[in-house]
Amino acid sequence: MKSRTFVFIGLFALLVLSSLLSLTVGPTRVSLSEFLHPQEGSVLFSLRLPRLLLGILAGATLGMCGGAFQGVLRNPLADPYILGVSSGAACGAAVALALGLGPVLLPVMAVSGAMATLLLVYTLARIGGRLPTDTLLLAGVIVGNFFASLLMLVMALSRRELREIVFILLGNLGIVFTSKTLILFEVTSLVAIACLLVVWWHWRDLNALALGEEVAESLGVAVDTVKKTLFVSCSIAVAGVVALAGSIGFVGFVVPHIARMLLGPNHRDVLPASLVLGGVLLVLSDIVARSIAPMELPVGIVTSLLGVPFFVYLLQKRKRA
Amino acid sequence: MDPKKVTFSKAGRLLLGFFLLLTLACSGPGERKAKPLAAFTVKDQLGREVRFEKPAQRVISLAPSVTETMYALGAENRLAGVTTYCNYPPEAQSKEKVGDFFLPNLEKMVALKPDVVILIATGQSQTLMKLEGLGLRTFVLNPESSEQTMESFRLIGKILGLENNADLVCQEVQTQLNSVRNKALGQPDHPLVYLEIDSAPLITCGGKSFVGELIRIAGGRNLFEDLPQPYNVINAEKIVTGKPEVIFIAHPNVKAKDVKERLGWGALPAVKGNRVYDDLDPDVLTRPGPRMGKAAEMLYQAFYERR
Repeated sequence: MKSRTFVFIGLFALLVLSSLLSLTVGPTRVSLSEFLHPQEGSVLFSLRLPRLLLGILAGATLGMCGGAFQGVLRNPLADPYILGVSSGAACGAAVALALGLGPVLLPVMAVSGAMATLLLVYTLARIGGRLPTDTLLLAGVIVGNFFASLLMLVMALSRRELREIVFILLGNLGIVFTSKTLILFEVTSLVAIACLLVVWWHWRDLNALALGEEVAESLGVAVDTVKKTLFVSCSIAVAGVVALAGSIGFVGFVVPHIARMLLGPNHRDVLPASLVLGGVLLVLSDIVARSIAPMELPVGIVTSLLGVPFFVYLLQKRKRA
Repeated sequence: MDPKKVTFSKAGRLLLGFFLLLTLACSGPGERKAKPLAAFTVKDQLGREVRFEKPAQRVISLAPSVTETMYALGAENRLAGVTTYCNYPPEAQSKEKVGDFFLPNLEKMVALKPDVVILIATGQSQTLMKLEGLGLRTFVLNPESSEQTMESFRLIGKILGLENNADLVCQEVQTQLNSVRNKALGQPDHPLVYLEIDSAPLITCGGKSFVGELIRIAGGRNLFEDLPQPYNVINAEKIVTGKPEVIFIAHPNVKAKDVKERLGWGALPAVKGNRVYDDLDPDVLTRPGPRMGKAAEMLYQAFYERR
């Protein structure tokens, strides 16, 4: 119990530290006086802070939803994109780009694409009011592949949009915020936070599900309702993130594993730890991604490059213990 | 008169005319008549020696800049195929298409029986390997500066046997560039420039790019002159703290008026001074072709005359 508190204090300290680091380190120098007297229109206020907040939102959402997906599907390979949500979102964004709909409608199209995917997966996977895990996984992979192919088609046919679509697929926190996209960001954040609260609300059900669906049912868990609720809320949150920051890979897969290694399998701990750790990993990765200025790397590349060695280290440590 | 004989002599005259035309086309205007049909070799911009039996008559162009050069040399009739990207001059769009820049159709190219396929080193190395494997004659250009672009005109001229036309085009472009350079040198101030190739993510051109050189010629100082690559993704902080005086939006995703909406951009000198331009044709700016003099002039006007 005590070590659990320490781990959480440590994680929060990490998040605060990496956030401070993210605000101070960057391609340009920000003086101390800017911190003490923040001005509107400054680099700190108008560029770094929104970017930091987007990083935390994206990382936290991907981390926690990854934990929820792995729990519901009882599959350690699951990640928030396993039901094809990212392909659908990228497809919607690609169509928006091809039609030249502009920077405000693009995230809206991305979310619509993700929702269409979810609806399709859901319809395909449902068998007589139930939602069996294996059909759900299968439907997710199939529909995801279909949208991925559709995306390739748009990429193959389009001339200008190719580059942008590639960057959506790689993930990037460097979106240019305008007053309009800022509102979009705020709305997405609120919706995502609401969805994450719903997910958090179900930690007991996730623990019961870990024992198997029959056992969970005998313990009084409405398995299908829980599944539907979790899938829908996770997918909405993830769709919003993909719309803003692209499909940043790896965070949603590896972070829950790290959380379980640190705290054990109880979802009461895994879910919030994944939330914080996701934010930390993404914020730290973004610092690296932008400190090779004047250029920038797609943050998704850095998350895997940082995350894999850490994951391997934890795995080795646990093997020895 | 015997009708058969008439037909025959008509055909003969036609044939004679055809051969005359052919010789004219091969020799081109003002070419030395010493050895019009002798085999020759031309070294391309990858340093490969390419051998020609005669000046090329059927050319497939795999890049918009090459197509523009063919037209500028007056050799549009020898274009057997172009890409779907080849949109200038507008007539080029009605030429036979062999696919796009990245993945042209090999079968179609073989079927067109070209004397030579002209392609670009950057982005078409795969296509080059495939075409070489198919035994087609290939000629590779790699123009990354105005100097190399001018050389590419001369090389295409050599392939076609139209050296004099190529010299004329080079002279004209050189005159345009020199005139812009001299005008710019006479200006007291040199504005700091940010040219946006893309907005999501932000991509710009560095000093090593073709358009980066044009900015220098036209009197601008590129905010990202030191970028290690010709083009790359950059961080918005560099722009906001760099305070560019002129901003070019060279993509259709946003309009000039949208730039001031960006958080932190409103105080930039370019935004305050109303010097954000979105109407410069990216094709003209970025293609290493015969319109580069025009591109430099466009940039110069934006720097000094469009206030």
